[in-house]
Amino acid sequence: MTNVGGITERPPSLQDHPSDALLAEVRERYPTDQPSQDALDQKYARRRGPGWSPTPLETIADSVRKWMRHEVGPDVEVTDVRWLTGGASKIQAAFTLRPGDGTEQRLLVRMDPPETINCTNKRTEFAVMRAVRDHLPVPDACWIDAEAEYLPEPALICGFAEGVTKPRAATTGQVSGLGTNFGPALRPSLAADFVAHLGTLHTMPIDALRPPDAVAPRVGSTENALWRLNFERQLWELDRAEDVPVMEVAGAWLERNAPALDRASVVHGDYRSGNFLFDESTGRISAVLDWESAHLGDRHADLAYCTQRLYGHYAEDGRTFLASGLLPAEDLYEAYRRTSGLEIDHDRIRWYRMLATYAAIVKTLATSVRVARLGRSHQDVLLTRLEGVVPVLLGQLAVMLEEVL
Amino acid sequence: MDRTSMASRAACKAMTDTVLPALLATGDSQAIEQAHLVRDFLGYAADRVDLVDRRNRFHLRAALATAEAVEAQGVLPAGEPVCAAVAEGRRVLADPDADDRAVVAALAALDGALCGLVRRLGTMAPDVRAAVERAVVAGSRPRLAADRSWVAPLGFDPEPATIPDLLGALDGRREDA
Repeated sequence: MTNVGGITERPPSLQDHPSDALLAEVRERYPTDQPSQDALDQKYARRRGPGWSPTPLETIADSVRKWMRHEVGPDVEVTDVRWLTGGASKIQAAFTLRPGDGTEQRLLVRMDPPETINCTNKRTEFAVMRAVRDHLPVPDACWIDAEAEYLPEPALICGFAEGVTKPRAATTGQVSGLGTNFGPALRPSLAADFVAHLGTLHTMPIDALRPPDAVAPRVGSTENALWRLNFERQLWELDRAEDVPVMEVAGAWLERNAPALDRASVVHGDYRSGNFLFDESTGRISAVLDWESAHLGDRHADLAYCTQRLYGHYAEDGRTFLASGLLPAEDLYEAYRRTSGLEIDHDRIRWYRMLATYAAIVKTLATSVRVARLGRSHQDVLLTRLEGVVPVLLGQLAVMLEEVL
Repeated sequence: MDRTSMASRAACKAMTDTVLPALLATGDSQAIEQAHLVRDFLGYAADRVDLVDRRNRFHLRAALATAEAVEAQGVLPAGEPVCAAVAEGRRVLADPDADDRAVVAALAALDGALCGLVRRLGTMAPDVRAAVERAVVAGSRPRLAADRSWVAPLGFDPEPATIPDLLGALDGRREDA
């Protein structure tokens, strides 16, 4: 081992099971907010446990029954349990809950694999979904099993939202909803809802979100930007299997140029095509999904995120690039200003776009590789395929760095 | 003779002709999705396996060129690990008998040394930092262009029409990321 610039460099295989000393060293060097640190600590503590092995559907059903008897009552029935595909990061099953009063409800249980592409805090996800439900269409967050008391791994139970993530007839769209083409007929109404919901999210009160679920960063300081950067840098240090010089340049530039926060908002953290449901007949968004990266922070993070090229595509004219497959980025910003009443700072958009690209590289080049190498998720074969986005993301990062260096 | 490529194609064909049709009948969406991913990977591996050594040598050449460009700035202190990594990279590239493990090790040493240097730049003069950072970013471009071509079959690139030809990129004929 050698010591370079204050961080002890290690052969990649040693990072399969980082020591307490290494975890403490990285935590001290890259401080982040407590809910994010809790997520990191839980991820690496769970790394010491067994890898992923298939959980029989009956085990899920029995666990949910036990859980629902505790939450709802002894007469509860859990039936019609079936698997759903859960994207790259979640194991999902649908079931019908009959509380014993003659009613029934279709619900969804979302369980983590032992380790996944996203490092998230389930308590934060649950608290944010509860906080936003009076403001936005979201699945009802019903119960949380944060410590895996009932399920084999931490889990949430949510209401079952109706809708589709892409047109049923669509032949485009990658795994995880990347590059979904909604078609010209659906775009105007979906774009209007997409922008309006984002503005609503960023202007809603944040008082309901408190520690330990969420921490509001100090307005007028760079605290938020550095928390978000340092969260990613901890993951990069601990998960990456190779050194990438351009990532070091990006991390250093982001640290030197961290912007101050002007207003603390609820930030979705993964706001893009593929992460909302819509009704094909009306062209309206029926539910905003995937709140696992939500936090209190800077609205520019969502604005930069949803306008990344990876989540968009060219319109039928072959020239107009559609952010999240819906509308040009400048049109999105203008509509957002109009509907939210909030200003947009393009310097902060640029910083958060670079951070979003940096974070996406952390996920695809570091965490996905580490998780698949150790066989820790139900979607290792999908995680390895994400190699395909790495050169695109690193190319974006290089272009952005050339503009600012 | 190595038959990995041929065997991968045979396995890919079995997935297409036999396994996937049987799975589709079960309606198990997770299994069907993963079977498609497995089939696609087998085809991808069949196309790439015979080029892995060539790709690693290309990356070593490109990383060496980046480190040499940094060295040429004339700002590195005596004993800088980048200089030792450059010497080792040159030695491996000049050795026609160097095996792939030696190439990968030399590449990792160069990338590691460059990362270490970038981390120490905060303690150096701003003009030195800027010059080194620009050289590192510029040096990444040929490698990214080649990697875009390498992973093109995975289908994520939002601008596939601009992806350079793989063999040309590995020969260093195209340098636009």
